Amino acid sequence: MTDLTLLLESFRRNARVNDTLIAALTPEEFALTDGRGGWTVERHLRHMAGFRVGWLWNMSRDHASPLLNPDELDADGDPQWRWANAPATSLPEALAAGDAAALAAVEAHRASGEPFADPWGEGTYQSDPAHFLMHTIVHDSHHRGQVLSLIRQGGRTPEQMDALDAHWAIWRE
Amino acid sequence: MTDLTLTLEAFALNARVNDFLIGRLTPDDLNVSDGRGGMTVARMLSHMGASRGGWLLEMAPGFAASTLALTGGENPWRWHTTDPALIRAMLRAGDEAAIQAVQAHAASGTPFADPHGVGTFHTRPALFLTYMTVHDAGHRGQIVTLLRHAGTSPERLDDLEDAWNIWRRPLSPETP
Repeated sequence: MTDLTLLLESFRRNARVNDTLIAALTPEEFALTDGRGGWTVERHLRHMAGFRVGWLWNMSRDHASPLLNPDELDADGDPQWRWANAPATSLPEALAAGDAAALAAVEAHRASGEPFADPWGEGTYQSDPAHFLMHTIVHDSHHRGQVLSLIRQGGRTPEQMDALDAHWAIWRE
Repeated sequence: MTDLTLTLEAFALNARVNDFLIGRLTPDDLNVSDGRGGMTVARMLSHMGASRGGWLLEMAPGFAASTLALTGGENPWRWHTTDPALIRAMLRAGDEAAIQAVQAHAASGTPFADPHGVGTFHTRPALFLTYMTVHDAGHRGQIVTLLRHAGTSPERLDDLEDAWNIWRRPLSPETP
């Protein structure tokens, strides 16, 4: 079976980059939008965390369960995500829990050989469940890029943006 | 030696996603910027393509030749174009050179050079490929923000979302 060393290392670094970005945001910046109907910074970050539980709910429901509150149901009657109404300050915890659940799901499905479920025919990494981790990394980066654009538009100076760019060094270690 | 299979597959998917995006941008899209001194869409795509050679010039200069051939010898970090065909050519050349450099350094066990002490993937050269994949994704996200800000219709923005199918069907040639 393909060895995951490199991918797992990348996944851990992605978590550090997420934490670094969130820690660098001011409370006011969480509410920034493009003013044209796009998401706020906070919504991008929530969406990143929700990506993990959302896909696990479709693909490997048992592994989504640590992220869900069975005592609270959403509009569809499904268990609510534990962080659905949590403050933005809890986003690092939500991301960390999502990462742990994603890793557990990938490891379990690779060990058993059972592919992820694909109830909606969307394509769920049938060639190797580990691609879910790479998709998560790329998806996070896509939204971090949008967050950076929003805070740039929100008034951060070029010097402040350059300082934030220092987070790229995490990937070059 | 570290198994590169998944990293190489992801890097190939990233190239398909870049092609998907470039193929859907109009000449007007390429000129969009935030109006606050940020890069235009074309400049971001140029930067994505030339950044491979930019890093190789620093860490493994023997592998930067194909990038420099396309820039005409100009510093890759300053190079940019509004020609989508040239952007695609730069991305292709950079991708091939990056893979060759990583495979050579992974095989020999020699870390990339780091003449300016900025960190050049000294723990695992293959992380350079992940870096380029993540770096591209960040800029693609910024491009979506720029397009939305410029008034691109929700329908066109939704079409761009189809690129995510590529990541979920890694080895399927029929995805867009």
